[in-house]
Amino acid sequence: MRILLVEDNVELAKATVERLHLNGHAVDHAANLSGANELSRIASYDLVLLDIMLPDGDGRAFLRAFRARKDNTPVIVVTARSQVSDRVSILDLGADDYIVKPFDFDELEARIRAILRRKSGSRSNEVILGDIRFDRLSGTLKSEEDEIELRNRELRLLEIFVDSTNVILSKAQLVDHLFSFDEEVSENAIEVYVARLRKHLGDNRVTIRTVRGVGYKLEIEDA
Amino acid sequence: MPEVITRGSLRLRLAGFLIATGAIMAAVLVVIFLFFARQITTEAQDSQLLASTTSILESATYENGQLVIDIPYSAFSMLGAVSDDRVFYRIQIDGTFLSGYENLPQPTASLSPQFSDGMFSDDVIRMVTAARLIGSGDEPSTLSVSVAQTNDGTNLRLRTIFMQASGFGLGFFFIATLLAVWVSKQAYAPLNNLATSIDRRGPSDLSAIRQTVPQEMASLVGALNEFSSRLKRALDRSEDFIAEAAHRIRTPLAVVRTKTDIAHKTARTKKMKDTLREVILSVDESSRTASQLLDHAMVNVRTDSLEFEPINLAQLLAEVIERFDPIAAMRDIEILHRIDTTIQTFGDRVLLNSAFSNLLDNAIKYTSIDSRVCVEAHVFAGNISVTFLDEGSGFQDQVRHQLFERFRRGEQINTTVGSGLGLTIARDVIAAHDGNINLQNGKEGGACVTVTLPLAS
Repeated sequence: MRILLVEDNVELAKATVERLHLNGHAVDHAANLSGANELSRIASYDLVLLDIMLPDGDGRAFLRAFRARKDNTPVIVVTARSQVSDRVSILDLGADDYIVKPFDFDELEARIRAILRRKSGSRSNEVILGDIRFDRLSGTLKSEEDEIELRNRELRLLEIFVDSTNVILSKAQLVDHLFSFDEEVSENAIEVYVARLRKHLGDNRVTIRTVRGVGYKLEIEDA
Repeated sequence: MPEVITRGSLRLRLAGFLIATGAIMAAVLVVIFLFFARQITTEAQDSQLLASTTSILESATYENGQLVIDIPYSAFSMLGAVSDDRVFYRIQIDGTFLSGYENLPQPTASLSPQFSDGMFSDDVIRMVTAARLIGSGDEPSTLSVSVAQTNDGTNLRLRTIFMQASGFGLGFFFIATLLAVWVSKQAYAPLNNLATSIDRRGPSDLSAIRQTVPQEMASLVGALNEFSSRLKRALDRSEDFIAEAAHRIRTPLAVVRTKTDIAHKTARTKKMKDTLREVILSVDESSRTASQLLDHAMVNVRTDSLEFEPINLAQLLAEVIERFDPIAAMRDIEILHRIDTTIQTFGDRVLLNSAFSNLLDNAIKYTSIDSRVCVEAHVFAGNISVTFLDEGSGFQDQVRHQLFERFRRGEQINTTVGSGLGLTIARDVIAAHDGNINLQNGKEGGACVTVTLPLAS
């Protein structure tokens, strides 16, 4: 995903860019309103992460101008303020959602996913996995005879496998991906989710193979 | 609202002063009136007495060296027409008594008429004495005539006048009293108008008073305006302070959290990962505490100036639920809701949002993995009932009633991030809306928080 980050705090911007990179996103950074305006004109983004308090003005002004240009790119406002009244006005101005600093990047991903699902309408975003079609946005698996709705963690687990086909993923990596920091889970919890996913994938050309002592990997057999 | 301590009334005092002034003026008028009335009556009596005296004097002639006085009938008939007054007279020449009542008081000898008050046979009398020279030759004699009359008629007339004057004075006093009441009411009308217009203001309207007021009230209105602008500045300052404090606390926390997150993602050893996870949990805990402290402060500021408006509760709850959906989904928690879409209440949108968010946040935090949280709202027994039910382990009986205390947390604190202010905030907000909040355990063991709010009438 290509993300425009508008954040004036240099330290925080650097760390955020690096952290989003780890999730596989490409990030451009603007430190002020004029930079953000310039970047948003010359490039197109999948998401704008917008801080509200900026040195050369209010992020809300950018939001208003951005929406006035009929730019429909999802905008998530990053706010350090806590007043709900503030948040309400942010949504009224055309932001799709807001997140409060400091935020959990998994929560950010979850919010992005919710926005994309809301905005996509009937448009689907399908990946072909052998005989199965996987729609990331709606979280469904479709085969000839069946359509299965995945639960959130199953969906995220399948996503990470699909993004790293044929790569061995350790249980620890998967735990990091599926559980937030305040959930105390053992690595064995992953086995439950892998088992569920295998059941959903059924007897098809897609398999999650156990690599003993290391982890799992997704393999797709050629037809 | 604290009761205003009052002593006395400006209006009554003003009316009292005006009425007293009216009474004094009425009395003075009556006295002056009587004084002049007495003077006029006395003058009228005097001139009649003098005319009578003069006619007697005029009737005296010398015939053949004899003094002849033929008292004309009119001399007495012109007197005493009014009442039963008695008339006395005395005629003397050169100090020698000739005729009439010898015992009438003796006036000083003089040719000009003498008026005097005196007593005669137990009656108060008014007497006139006049004299003229009479006779021929070198030694004329001094003929002096006194006519006296009792005062009954005058007094009767004066009494009538006194009654009339008193009636007039009372009438004057009555009108003055009416005027005093009206004037005092009119005089304080601008004060009442000002109070009414201040009363009609919304709770957060702290703008200056623009109403035109009499000069005397300028200083009062000035002081009120100064006071409300100070209050507004103080409120603005505390809201700004809360926002600024949030910004100052959260941005560095965000830097620490993000960097630690990166370190956690790239850490190679389990020990390292565990340590970094602890750091992140601590950051999350302080961030939540900061949020809730600030929310708590915000609640305190706002409950002092509640902005009540009609609220569609279903819509507000839907917004709250939509907000928490992604977070719940991350844990495979489903938020079910059964909400009566017609429920309306009166309240402060921001505060109610904050209260319900805290309750839903708790439910999501404490429910088990892969479970459900249920939000229900319906009208029950004339009140609105909003229930948050989770599938966690519920409240423990011995601590349940303590959970509303600040920073008091349940037993799962080791594994769940929380500050212990959520329920306090919710309770304060709900109390400010005349509702109450009840902690129970559901039939199947989860926590069940029920909020009761009055229905908008």
